[in-house]
Amino acid sequence: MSIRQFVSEIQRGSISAEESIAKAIKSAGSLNKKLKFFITPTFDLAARHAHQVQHLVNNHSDAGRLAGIAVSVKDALCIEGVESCAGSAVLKGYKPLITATAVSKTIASGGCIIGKTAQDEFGFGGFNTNVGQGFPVPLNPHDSLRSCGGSSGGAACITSAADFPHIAVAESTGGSIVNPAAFCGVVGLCPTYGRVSRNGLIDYANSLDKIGVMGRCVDDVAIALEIMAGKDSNDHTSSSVPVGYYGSHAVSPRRQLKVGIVKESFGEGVDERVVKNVRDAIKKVTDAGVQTAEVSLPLAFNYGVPSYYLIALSEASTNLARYNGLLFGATEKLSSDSKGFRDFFASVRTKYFGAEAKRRILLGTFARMAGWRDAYYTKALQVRQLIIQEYQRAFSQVDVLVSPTMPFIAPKFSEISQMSPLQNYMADILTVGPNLAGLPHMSLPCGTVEGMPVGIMFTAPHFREDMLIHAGGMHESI
Amino acid sequence: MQITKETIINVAKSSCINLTDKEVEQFLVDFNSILDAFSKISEVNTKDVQPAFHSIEISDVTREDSAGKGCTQEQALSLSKHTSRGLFVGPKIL
Amino acid sequence: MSPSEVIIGLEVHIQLKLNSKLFCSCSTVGEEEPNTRVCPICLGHPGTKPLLNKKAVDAAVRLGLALGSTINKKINFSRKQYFYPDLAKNYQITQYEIPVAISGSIVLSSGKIIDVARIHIEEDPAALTHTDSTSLIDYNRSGIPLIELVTKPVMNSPDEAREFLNTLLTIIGYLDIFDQNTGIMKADANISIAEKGFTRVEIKNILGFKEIERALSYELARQKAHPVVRETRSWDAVAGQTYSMRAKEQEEDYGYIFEPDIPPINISAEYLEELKKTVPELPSTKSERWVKEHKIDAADSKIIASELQLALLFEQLIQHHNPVLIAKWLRRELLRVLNLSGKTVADIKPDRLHELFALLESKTVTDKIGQKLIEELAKSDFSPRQRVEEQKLGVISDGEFIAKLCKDAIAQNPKAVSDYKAGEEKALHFLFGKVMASAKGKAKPDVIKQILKELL
Repeated sequence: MSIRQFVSEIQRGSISAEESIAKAIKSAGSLNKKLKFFITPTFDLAARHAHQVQHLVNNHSDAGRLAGIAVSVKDALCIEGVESCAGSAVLKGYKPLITATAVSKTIASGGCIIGKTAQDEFGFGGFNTNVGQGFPVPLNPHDSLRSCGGSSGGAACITSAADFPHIAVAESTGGSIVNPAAFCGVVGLCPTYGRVSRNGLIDYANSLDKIGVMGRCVDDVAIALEIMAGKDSNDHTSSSVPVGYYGSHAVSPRRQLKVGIVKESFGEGVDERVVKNVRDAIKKVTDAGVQTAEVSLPLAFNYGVPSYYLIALSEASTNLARYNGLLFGATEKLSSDSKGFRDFFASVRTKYFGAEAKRRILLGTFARMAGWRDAYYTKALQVRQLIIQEYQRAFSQVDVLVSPTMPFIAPKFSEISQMSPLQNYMADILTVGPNLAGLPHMSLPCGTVEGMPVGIMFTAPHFREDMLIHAGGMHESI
Repeated sequence: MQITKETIINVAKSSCINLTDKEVEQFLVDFNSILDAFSKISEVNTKDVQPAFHSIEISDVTREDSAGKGCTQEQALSLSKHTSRGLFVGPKIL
Repeated sequence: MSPSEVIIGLEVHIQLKLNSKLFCSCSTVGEEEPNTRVCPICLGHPGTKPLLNKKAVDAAVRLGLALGSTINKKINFSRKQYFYPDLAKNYQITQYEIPVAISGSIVLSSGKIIDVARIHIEEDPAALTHTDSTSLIDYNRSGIPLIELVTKPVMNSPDEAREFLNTLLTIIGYLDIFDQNTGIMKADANISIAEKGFTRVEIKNILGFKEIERALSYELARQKAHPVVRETRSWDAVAGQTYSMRAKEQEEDYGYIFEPDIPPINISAEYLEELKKTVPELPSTKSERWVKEHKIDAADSKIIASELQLALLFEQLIQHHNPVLIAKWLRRELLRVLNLSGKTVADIKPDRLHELFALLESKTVTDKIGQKLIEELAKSDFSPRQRVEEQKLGVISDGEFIAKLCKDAIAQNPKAVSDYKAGEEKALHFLFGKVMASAKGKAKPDVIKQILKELL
């Protein structure tokens, strides 16, 4: 049952929100034992939220467009009083004083917060294996020897496995929504930069971080996006562009779109079987009368990964400077014979940051050091400008772009452990472009290879989530 | 461009992170391969190109100067293990 | 040592007079109990975003306009990253590449122009207290809005530095962006002398313009007498000396990046026009204009112009009264009684002064009575006109009455009389004083003088 249908049943009183959430809690609990998608389950909170929803329904009040829906939240989004760590041991035990705006909005719409989902530490990974010390690695519901993708791996995992109405609030910096959505076979939507407030999101890279959503169908994510989107006085980068009625596009009849096929994304380095699945899907929509054109994005493909990482890590290395054992988070004993504050800070940071976090802090610190800054950090910002312009030129010819989401199916954990850091970074080749340019993009299931899901990705111009949802709805319905 | 061990040690110091000798060796290998690949952006002609601080056009967002309520002293201190009489306690400054 | 052999530059931090902090709505004033004016933003909690206070931009732009600076058309904020326990985020949000304003100047009384290099906005760190084994941190100051003003190294004496800061203080008072009672003006100075090859020493933590001359004079003497190394020193106002904080082997690398949470601010022509209207005529311009237009004493003019409230009072009063008289009275009498009573200009109603000066101008009361009335006005509010009527304080010009007092004074002070006759003019002043005293200050001075001379 879609969320739209389910919520109308709840609102009508034909399904009890409390009973439904109680079932969801039971199911999520047992699924989590097997798949490890939660960092912190919040079953008490979900039950409380369901109780409120039921109370409103009983009083014939509007219980909201997510009434009685289980909502999971990526660990990086703060919830007041609920342990929120962004998957890092350095934030173990941290219970924020604030709730992320996106989460508050889903709660206000009747969403029932069921748990904080697993992720790579601070979002630093594409396979959800770079987890903080003591944090879970979620297992792919289609094959437990394989990764869920990352960094929002837990979000995709529960979305795929849930046998109850559910949406996942996730976050993407360089592809962290569409990547795990593709690997787990669910719909993942990352909106335009600034479309959803980042207030309460534990920062990875502020100029790139975007909160989005995962669900089982396009209409589910469209509804959730509509609820979370909008200007927020607590995030000055949130956009005042009016929020569209995204949900209506997923169910309305498809209109003519011109789809641009991104040439580079079907080329070298992309698994041929993945290419075939996506090409077949494109052929189906073409057969249904949709126009296509080939589009080339050489800058995004040649320079997107370095530009993305240099900006992201420069910002991340400053964001992570605050973790030093003083005001919050993990800490060490203050010894009176310590050799000074730097030693104390270093003792906390060395002990509680994971290996990839350290690598990214060091790389980011390097990229913004006086002698290197112009060649790396500033240059990357300029290259980003050119890549944005390249996309804008493409969008003057087509409405949306299409490509595979990931160059391969979910890899096995044994394969991932053999990959070098650089190979890890290069796996983002298809997703960094839209992320760097802040463009809304969405991954949808597109058949399987070896029984594992393949993802097809659509990308739309800034703030044209409506077009994106149109395109997704079209693919979904064929 | 070749990164040296000294650079790694220096960057780690700037980052307030201690590295073992083994980690320095490993980071040296990582850094050289990663930065080698990243240096590719130097090929792009960026003459007269403005850096893109954000991916969308966004500017002129400010807040009015009105004072509101923050959090209580108790809330502020509750998140730290190092507090004393209303103050946070930090390491000695040398 | 000639002055040109000393080079001084200043970095001045001015706490802006605003209701809320730079990036959050915590109050800038009030409760002094530590960590009570804090919130997740100024504590640097993960997930919070800085929310720029518009008034801070206004204040910095207005200061720039007042100093004749070039205001940048699009400004940005940056993160200056270094580890220190007083920084909640271990980076400070400041401005680096594109500050609010560049260039500009302040002119000293000697006519020397002190160039200002830049004016930017930044947040204050928390307050640290050091103990033997730990540091104690209060975040009430964290995020307090500051303007940093950097001069070029063009001052050549501690005295010039003091005058620069004093003039700056007057200007920020005029702009109403600084509160002398609650705000802090702090300076870091760099000073070097030719004798030691201009080895640059930076001195931190000099509080206000009164300390700057002391600190720099001490440092100057120290540099002359001792070997000088490139270092950062701190000024200890209690001990009256500077002490070494750290050697500066190399510039610290702050790894600046743009602050991605704060969108750039466009400074439009319309906005600048709006703000220009709010920049008052500056003290130096005012004082020069008064001397030219009203022929008042240059020293009086400068002193009156140095405080905005006094300057405004002057401009108000001279619409009805003689500017020369007003200038003299404001500077000599009003400032004296305010100093004595610890009151401010705002404590006396302008209408009362208006009445008083009308009485003086019409010679309804003597200067002596005028002084007495202004002293009492500083203590309590009353109508000078009514008091003069009630207490019969009006001038006495009755010749017969004054002649009687003069005769008494002559009879009681034979020594003064003989001195006067021996040619000592001062003796006449003495007798005059005696007569005025017996008249309780009310006798018309001209009449006393005339009668005394006649009688002698």
